[in-house]
Amino acid sequence: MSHLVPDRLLILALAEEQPDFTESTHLRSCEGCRTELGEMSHIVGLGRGRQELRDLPPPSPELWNRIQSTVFGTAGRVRPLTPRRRVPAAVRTAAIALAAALVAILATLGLTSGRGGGPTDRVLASADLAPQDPAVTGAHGRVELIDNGDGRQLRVTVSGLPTTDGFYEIWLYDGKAAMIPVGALGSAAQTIVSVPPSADQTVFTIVDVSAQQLGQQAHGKSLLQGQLR
Amino acid sequence: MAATVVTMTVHDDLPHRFRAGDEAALREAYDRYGRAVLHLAAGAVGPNDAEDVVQATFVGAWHGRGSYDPELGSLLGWMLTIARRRVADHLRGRVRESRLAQTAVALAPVEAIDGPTDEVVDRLVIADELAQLPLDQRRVLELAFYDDLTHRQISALTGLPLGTVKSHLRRGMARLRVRWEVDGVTSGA
Repeated sequence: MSHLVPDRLLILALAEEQPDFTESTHLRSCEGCRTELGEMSHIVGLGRGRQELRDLPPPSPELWNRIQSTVFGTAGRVRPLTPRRRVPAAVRTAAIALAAALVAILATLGLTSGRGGGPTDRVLASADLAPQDPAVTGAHGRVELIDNGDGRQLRVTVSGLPTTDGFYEIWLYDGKAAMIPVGALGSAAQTIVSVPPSADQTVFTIVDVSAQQLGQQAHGKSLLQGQLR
Repeated sequence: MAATVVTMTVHDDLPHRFRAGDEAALREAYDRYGRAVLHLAAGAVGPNDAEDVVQATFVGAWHGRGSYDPELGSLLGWMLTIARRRVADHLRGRVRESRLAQTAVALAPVEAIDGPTDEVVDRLVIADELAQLPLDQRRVLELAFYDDLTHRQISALTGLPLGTVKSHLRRGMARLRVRWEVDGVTSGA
């Protein structure tokens, strides 16, 4: 028989199907196809092994301090940040909801005015979030990108989303290929999440709210979206 | 205060900025790859000494950044190479301290010590490349890898035509493979 085509090799490498008799015979006699399949299977294996890497614990904050002081001297010119821990989605949702609620309370009391006292919040951009899915035509939202003096935040308010067994995640999207998960939507009226400093504001201009299953790390189904301006 | 967040950069600048000695790039590299280096180190030297290896790796990478060429490989791949050397140093030191098999270890090739970490390096490299794939390709590959879905099931779930699912899988796999050939240690490249 002729050589196995790439699409077929991929199906075999993913173990989606087993080689039939003719293919097995060919693979035994054709070193090229065998090597090709072997390499693809190896990549699949490495890719599947990645799953366990998703929940790796982060290094301790002290470790960064040690590296920083060794490299830059004890004062350290790079601002230490606490690495974001990966926690189960449900815990994260609850934590963020709690944090958002606290922030809302503090905001009401006028306590979140930044480091130096006095409100330092500056609205950098905002967007209306419009439904992206027929299932949520009645939903809408509003988001503001804020600079609070210490960094950027998204403040998200949505209404009309159905209750879910999973959760809703907020993403920054560059409109092409890259999405950054910035936090789960809490149950409070407004959810506030931090924007990573490395996320270029001129590139990640779209805010997306997706429906996620618990434990699902990849982007789920887009429900709301809006362009920051 | 606010000024510190004004200098925002696109992801892919990181290798070049690191090489150029941009101090913020060290922190970014640590945020992105610290976990991976720690994982490699913990698997090889155990949790107690792993952080020492991570520290030696990042400090060594920073001081040796002039020898890193972004055109020849990824920053992660290069850092994992350094991490493997630090692991080997560490294991040699540990054996010397325990005064066991001193001669054997002194004569052993680095590869013999590195062996167990090879697969870990490759998995970390592939994980990094997966994370950088275009969103649709990544989604499709993840559904095939982790959820064991068939092409047809992926098509039904994502709403993408079967032909698109196939081409995403093919292109995504091709990119993983190229990355493995460049940065992997079991590729024999």
